[in-house]
Amino acid sequence: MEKEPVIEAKGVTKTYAEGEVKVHALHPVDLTIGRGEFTAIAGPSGSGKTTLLNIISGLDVPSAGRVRLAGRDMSAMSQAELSDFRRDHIGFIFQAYNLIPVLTVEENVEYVLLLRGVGAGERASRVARMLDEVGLGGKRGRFPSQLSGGQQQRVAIARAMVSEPDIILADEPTANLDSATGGALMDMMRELNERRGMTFLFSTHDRMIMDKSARLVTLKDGRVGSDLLK
Amino acid sequence: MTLLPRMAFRNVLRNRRRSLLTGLMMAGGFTLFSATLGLSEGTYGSIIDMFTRSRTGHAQVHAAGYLDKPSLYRSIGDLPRVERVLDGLKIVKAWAPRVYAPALAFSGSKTVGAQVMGIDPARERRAMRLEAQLASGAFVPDAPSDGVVVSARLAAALKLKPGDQLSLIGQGADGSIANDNFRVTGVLSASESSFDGPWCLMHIDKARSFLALGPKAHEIALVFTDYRKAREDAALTAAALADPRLDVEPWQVTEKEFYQAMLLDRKGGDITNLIIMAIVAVGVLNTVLMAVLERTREYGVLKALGTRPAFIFGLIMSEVLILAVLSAAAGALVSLGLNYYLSGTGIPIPDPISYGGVKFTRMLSAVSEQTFTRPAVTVLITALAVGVFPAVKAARVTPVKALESR
Repeated sequence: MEKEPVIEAKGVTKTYAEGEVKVHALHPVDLTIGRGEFTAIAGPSGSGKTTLLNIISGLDVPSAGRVRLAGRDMSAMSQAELSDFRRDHIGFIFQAYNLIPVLTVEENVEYVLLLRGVGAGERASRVARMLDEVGLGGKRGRFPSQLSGGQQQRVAIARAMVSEPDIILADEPTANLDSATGGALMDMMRELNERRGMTFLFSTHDRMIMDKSARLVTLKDGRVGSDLLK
Repeated sequence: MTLLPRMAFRNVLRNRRRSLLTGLMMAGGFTLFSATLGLSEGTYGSIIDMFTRSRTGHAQVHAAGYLDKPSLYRSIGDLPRVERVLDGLKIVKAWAPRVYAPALAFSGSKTVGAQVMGIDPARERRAMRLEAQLASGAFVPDAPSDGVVVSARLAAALKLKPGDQLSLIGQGADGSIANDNFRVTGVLSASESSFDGPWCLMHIDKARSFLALGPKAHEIALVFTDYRKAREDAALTAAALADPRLDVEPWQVTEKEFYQAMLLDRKGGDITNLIIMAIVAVGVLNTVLMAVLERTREYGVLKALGTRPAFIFGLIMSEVLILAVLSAAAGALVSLGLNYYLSGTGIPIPDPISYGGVKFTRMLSAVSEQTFTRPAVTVLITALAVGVFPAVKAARVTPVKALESR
């Protein structure tokens, strides 16, 4: 049975003007991601991976084409609507972790639930459960600066997943980690994907992520080169 | 503590050295502002006291229109009732009735125009510092007599000294010619007296009989319990007197030129304070802008996660507010000590001023509620106003661009 689509990108292009020169970061790209998929978008630097992820997440707008996420056309949304939409439907994992330095591990994870207006009791139980799942239950009072890179990325994963979004977008999530830590994190995300049925979309040029993903889409010069379901 | 103030407070503590320096700048600005205000209030207070107690008082009662067109016939009606009302007012510390009339003064072969001023010496002693302005001789005797005190100018014009005879000719209120002989008991100082013209001061009852004026007065000088409330107290006195035929004017009206000069001088002080606050503002702006630039990526993350711009704006404004409140509190503590010291010991004046019998040797601070509230409000408003630009800048960052920043 075909999976319910979470992302439907049709004819998405992105053109930047650098002085008088036009740079085509994305040529028309069509991409559909189904619910519960564990997909990697791979390609060399400058291939358009991050640009595509930014457009899918609503952080950037396409020059042409449309993106539907969770059944809603994002191109029709205002900045404020996009902001609320990201809050309610998307989880982010960044290459540089990007935790809020002045918030503790627990507060960082709790932050997205606060934005969504989840009540205090439910927030506490969901945060505790999520931190236990990523193996950081004992470090909830620590600040990001007191954690290793791998631990910080675990917090970022917990933050991305705690609100149970429709999709988790991860931009080069293992790029700043050693291969053992990166591998362990990928295994953890794969396990969460299988157990909770959450949709993951990675951008990467890391061979290990490509190997561990269930579907591999390659981009080259802003075009989809291949789309393999493993 | 809810999320926003908690994040703001931790952000303030994040770069402690920078926050401390900014706080010191704001606290320093507060202290300077407060000390300047205290010293300015103290100095103006001393000058106002020196000026008003030398002759004018904090306010004056006249018959309506007397100040615009003084006349022998324009006197305060029903004086006993006015005096009873003044005695019953708690805000009136002392009062002194006066009569005025022009006259010709003779001594030997010399004649000059003079101004007669009838005073109640006992009441003047309680209200004013006329006696302290004597250069030689004795003051006007407490009981009505022919003893008069003359100003330095009249003494110089008629070559008078204590003990000399003086004749005055004027017009009586009944149309008669007023003339009498007087004895000079004292001469006022040339440099330290508020009587610049050719004045001749005598007992009020003697003046009344000399001018056939009856039990009247042209002026009642009032001294209130607090000179700073002269305007309000003058209005209260007018309300208590409840007589449209009377004017009660504070010293700011009766001595308009002196008051205007003082206001102009105060504007100079305000400009000094403005410069202090401008320096503080530049310092705060620099700090907040630096912090915002450094944390651009963080704001990008917050917005990517779905944070509304208003939250980011509120976060930065809260940080500025926390820093400003802490700095103002520290500034208030330091100012309290400094103003206490300056109100007791003060700053010596290299060339002491002497006027109206009072020697002004030190600038003393006058501590009031305003000495703290004005700097506090100014520091808070300045900091918040300066914080708006960086806060708006942070609130409007584009997440995708902010996430690319280092």
